[in-house]
Amino acid sequence: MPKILEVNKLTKEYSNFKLDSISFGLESGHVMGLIGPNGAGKSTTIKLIMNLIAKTSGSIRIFGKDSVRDSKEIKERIGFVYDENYYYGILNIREMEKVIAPFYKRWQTDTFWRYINQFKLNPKMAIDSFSKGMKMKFSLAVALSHGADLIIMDEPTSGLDPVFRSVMLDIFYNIIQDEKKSIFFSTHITQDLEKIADYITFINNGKLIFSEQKDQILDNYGIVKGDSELLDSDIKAEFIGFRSNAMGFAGLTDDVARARRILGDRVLIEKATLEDIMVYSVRGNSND
Amino acid sequence: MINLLRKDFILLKKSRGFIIAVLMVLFGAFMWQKNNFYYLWSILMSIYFAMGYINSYDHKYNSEKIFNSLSLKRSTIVIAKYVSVLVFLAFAIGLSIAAMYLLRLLPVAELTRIINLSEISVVIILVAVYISAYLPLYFKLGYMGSRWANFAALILMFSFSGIISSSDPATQNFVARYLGVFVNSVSGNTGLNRGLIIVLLAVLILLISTSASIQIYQKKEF
Repeated sequence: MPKILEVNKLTKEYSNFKLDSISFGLESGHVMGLIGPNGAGKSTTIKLIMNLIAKTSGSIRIFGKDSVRDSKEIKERIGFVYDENYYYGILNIREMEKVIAPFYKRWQTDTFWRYINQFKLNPKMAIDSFSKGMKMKFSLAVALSHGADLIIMDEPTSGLDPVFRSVMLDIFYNIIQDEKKSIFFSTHITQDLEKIADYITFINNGKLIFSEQKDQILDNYGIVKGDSELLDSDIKAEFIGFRSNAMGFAGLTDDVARARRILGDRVLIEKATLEDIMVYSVRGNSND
Repeated sequence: MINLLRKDFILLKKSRGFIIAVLMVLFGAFMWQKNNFYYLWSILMSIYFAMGYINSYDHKYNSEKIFNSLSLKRSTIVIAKYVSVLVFLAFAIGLSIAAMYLLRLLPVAELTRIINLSEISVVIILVAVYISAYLPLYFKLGYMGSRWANFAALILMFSFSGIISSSDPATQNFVARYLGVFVNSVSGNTGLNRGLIIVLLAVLILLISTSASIQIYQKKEF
């Protein structure tokens, strides 16, 4: 299947942060979640993909085209949702549609108003008077109303209630059904990704930890629990991160089969959630 | 480009800036009869308010992030900003001329003069110099960082319009010596050719400024 988004050895250097040679790819008809703690480089990655900031080195290809040279052509086919409202808050929805719609050749007025009605947004109210969730719904309606082939979102579900998050995930699911469209989004709410994502890209401190199929990740990673006296230096080295206290230890492994082979029935092995993977990877080892 | 201009006018219509700018133009058209300084001043102020309001909304909502995420070249965004000001200038001049014709209908002997082409050319070059000085700084430093520069450029043009409109003989002598083209233009002695030269000069200044702004904006990060 053709790659709709290809990021290759992407690097961006700031004086106090470096996004360090990250590579990943997303195929058509799939959802990729970008996870990582605050300051990991998620927004920087999205800004680089959107050509809002200049890369130091590496390449980004979207729809097979160069993200900088062919930026104008590419952006016609991208729907974007950012972490905050950047639309003019003094305007109401009708006025904002008048501003934004002419920029898209394939603007779909009917689709836009279908989403506005579905999201129960009052078209006469100024965007400034909307709650954070309503503003996010408006941004989403714009992103979904011009036939975009790639939807890129930076923390779209933050600030949304669980009911709307569920509605949103259903919408995402429907979008990718034709297998031509893809969704790439960053989030802290890893439960959403467990429901919808096909691929997970995890970055920490500017470095790529992994970019793999979600099912493969959830199959390979596990939480190993056992008595603290088992934790010698060899066993500790098996874990990506662990926590231990007087009651016992819990460690994250990226190779459940190996952990089972080494530790046998002396430990309990549970499935790791994406949140577990993120927390243990970022925190490393800790003794309470 | 047209879509960006439409955006500016939709924003302007929603703001107090538009009303203030229109009132400024009407005030200038009225005061023109007594001293053309007021006219120059009012057009400059109307541009200052109109541009200031649009830029303040762009800053408040960080909307450059949106426009740079759309299918637009960065150079188009820059050029549209210049064109937007010039379109508003054309609107302001047109409105002021319409107001002057209306004032002629009033039974007041003094209210009979209509601005001529040479005088309009001075307005154009004043605005051209003003935005050519300000906009590159706006694109470099953003709205907040360039507010002082905007105000300084306005004051400079304000002072300049005061000098070239002065009826004081010493000032006129000074202006005639150093800024002969302008003063001749204002007094209407030079005709269309001088006016055209001034407009061409304005275009040249605008092109240099636009080119500088594009260079700056291409490197900007959002």
